Amino acid sequence: MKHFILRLSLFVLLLSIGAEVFFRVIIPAREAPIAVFQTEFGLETYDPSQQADGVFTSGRRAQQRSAWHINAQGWNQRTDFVADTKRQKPLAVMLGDSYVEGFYISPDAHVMQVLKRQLDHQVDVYQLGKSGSGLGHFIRMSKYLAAKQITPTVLTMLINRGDFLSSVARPNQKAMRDSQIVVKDDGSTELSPPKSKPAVTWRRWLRKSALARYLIWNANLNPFGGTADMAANRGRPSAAPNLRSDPRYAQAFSYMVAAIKTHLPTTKLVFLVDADREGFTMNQSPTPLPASAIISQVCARMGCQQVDLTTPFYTHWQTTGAPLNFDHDYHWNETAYRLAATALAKAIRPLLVTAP
Amino acid sequence: MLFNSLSFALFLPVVFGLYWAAGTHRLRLQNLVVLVASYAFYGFWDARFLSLIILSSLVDFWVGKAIHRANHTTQRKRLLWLSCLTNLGMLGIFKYFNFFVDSARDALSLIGYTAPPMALEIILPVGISFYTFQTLSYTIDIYRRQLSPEEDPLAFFAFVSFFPQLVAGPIERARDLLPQFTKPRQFDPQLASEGLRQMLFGLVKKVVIADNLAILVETSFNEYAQLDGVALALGAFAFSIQLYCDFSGYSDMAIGTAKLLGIRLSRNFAYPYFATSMRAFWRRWHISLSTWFRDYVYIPLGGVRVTTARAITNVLVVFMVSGLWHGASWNFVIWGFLNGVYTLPALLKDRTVANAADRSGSFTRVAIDAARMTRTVALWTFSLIFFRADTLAASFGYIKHMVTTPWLSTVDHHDYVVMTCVGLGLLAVEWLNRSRPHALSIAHLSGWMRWSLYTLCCLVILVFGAVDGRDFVYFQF
Repeated sequence: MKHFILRLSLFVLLLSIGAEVFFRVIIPAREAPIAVFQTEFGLETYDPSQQADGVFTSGRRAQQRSAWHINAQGWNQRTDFVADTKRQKPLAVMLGDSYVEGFYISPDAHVMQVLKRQLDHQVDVYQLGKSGSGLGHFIRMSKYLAAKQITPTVLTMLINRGDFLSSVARPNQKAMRDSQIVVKDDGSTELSPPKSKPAVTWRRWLRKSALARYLIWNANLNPFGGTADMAANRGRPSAAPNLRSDPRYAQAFSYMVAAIKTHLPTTKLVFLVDADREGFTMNQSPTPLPASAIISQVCARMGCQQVDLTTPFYTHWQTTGAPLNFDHDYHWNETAYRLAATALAKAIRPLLVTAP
Repeated sequence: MLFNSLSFALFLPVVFGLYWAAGTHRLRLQNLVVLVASYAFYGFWDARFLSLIILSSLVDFWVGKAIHRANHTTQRKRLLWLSCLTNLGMLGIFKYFNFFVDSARDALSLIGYTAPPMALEIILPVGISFYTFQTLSYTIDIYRRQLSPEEDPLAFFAFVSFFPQLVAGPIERARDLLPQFTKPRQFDPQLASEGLRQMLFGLVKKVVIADNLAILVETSFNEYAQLDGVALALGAFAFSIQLYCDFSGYSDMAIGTAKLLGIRLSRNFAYPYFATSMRAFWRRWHISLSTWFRDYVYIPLGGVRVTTARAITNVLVVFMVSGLWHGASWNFVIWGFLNGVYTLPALLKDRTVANAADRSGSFTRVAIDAARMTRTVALWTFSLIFFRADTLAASFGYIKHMVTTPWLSTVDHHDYVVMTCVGLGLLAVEWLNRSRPHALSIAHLSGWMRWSLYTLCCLVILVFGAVDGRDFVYFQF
């Protein structure tokens, strides 16, 4: 028995070592930067001092691989942010979640970098993306920009499927995530407090293992992709009836716009709204996400702009049949980023021309 | 608790440790560990249904002893009927009640009578089709005076509930398994190593091949109206591979787990896709069920020792009942009937079915065998359309589309081709090891070669294994 257990243990040890090598060399496990909570702003950014560069992979065979770089301010961007006094060009900033975080694509393919090239490098671009960010986080990010003396000429916020639902809490409902906008029965609104995730030592050690990173981050996907995988990584379903009939969502959105204008009074606000891509593949006629109608309504009243990606995305999909996301994951691929940049460039070019 | 789950990965080492720590000289303690672990394993699914296993165990333990003590045939028969009624009664209520009621209502509606709906809202307890048959074989063998009753209730209860084979077989005979619970078990490192190898191979078949094929098969059968003939044919073949890998994979994991505990279960699959006739196929597929029906239904009906017409009837009845065992649906009855028809030519010709693996011979013989194997797989795959489709209408719809739709259209066949290659690759690997109990039975290879293959299997599972924890197909039976 002892001999059997010893041999088994030795095999497991050698297998672990072999797997470590395999998931570093052959199928590289995902590397992700280490998050740090900025108490002053109630925001989570990344800590460049711990790891500034890495390769992000997704999929069981690491089908998607892209390099990332955390700048001095803790965001995934090759260049550091500088204050207004040190810039000469107009500034376009995008806020968003994992789509703006941009780990799934190469840095040059990010919507803001493509935008910069399309605007002939006549504008500086900053991208502040953090996975899971919602409307409440945009308020905190705008306060962060103001505190850092970074005043965008144009501030674009990317709205994805499900952002409204997860960003707005009911008053008698426990906030499901931090920084939710709570709409009370008396009509008042407030931002729920941020939640910091304390650093856990054993997790930091676990991240050093390629096998552990592969199992945790890469291996939660079906290796052959397809409908099962898409279902697992699909954005949260939009509750169309709730959004359209429940005034709280419009109220929460208005609250957000007003709060951002308080921090960045001279900045022009633009909302870039994703398309209902799932509707394309289900052969439905393309309709904008339910949030689009609310954004349009509020923007008309509060002087912001909306760019809906339904038409450019659907036209591309219908013409080429090519997907706008990965087989194994619902995030945009580089084609989608390019199309989004083109639509955004067209919308914000006049806004940048008039900037001092 | 699925074999391919984290909970089982934690459960098994604990049971292994407690079992062997109980010591080879403390048989009752080891059996107690098995019993508690088995009830915990089953209770993980749904603790309420433990009562059914305990009821079946209690009734058959008592009935077995009573039959053995009884002298009069009438009394013996009555006791046997009690066992049959208890076990088949449980099966009938939980599995077949709604089927028979719905079928009766459909039949009555044909003559213009609308019967009121009368469905029971009950869950099918996992494994009920397996353990009821296992305990039934115990009482029947005692009745036939082929077996003496077990006096130790602990050993008997452990035999009935033995967790590796409790929920999806193999259906063990008491004469093979029960003695292993009455004799001390010694730890055998070679048996344990072989058990681990068999578990590993079973896991590869289940999570790498079966669960990934399941996605393609689901698409094929749910959207058959949008696919062409090639896709539908390959989709059916994909299901035949999925079913084989799912079920034989489970059996391998069950047998391997038992070997870790020093217990040998019977072989359940013997490379059925290498059979050169359907009759030979059924001696290689789900062997424990086939032999159960042979010994307890077919032979009592007379087997082949009757007129030709009666023999044909016996075969078809057995296969249709076997189909019904698989599921309470006319789809399964038709599936069984088809397979019965497939075996008739060999029955009528009374040919000795040769095992191609045993033959050595010329190229012509090899070519003939290959053609026969292909024919066998094609016939089997066709019957599985009824097995897999949700309804009879869907079965016929699938077949109609497969036959009438142009064989090649704009449908993307890439996934089908890949999966077909995966299936053929598995069969190739099994062909190379067809003389051994399973394809990873490689104790004869050098140490570094074995460890390399184990490592390859583990990496294949990590990289390609589906992680959505699909149930085993045979759990629904």
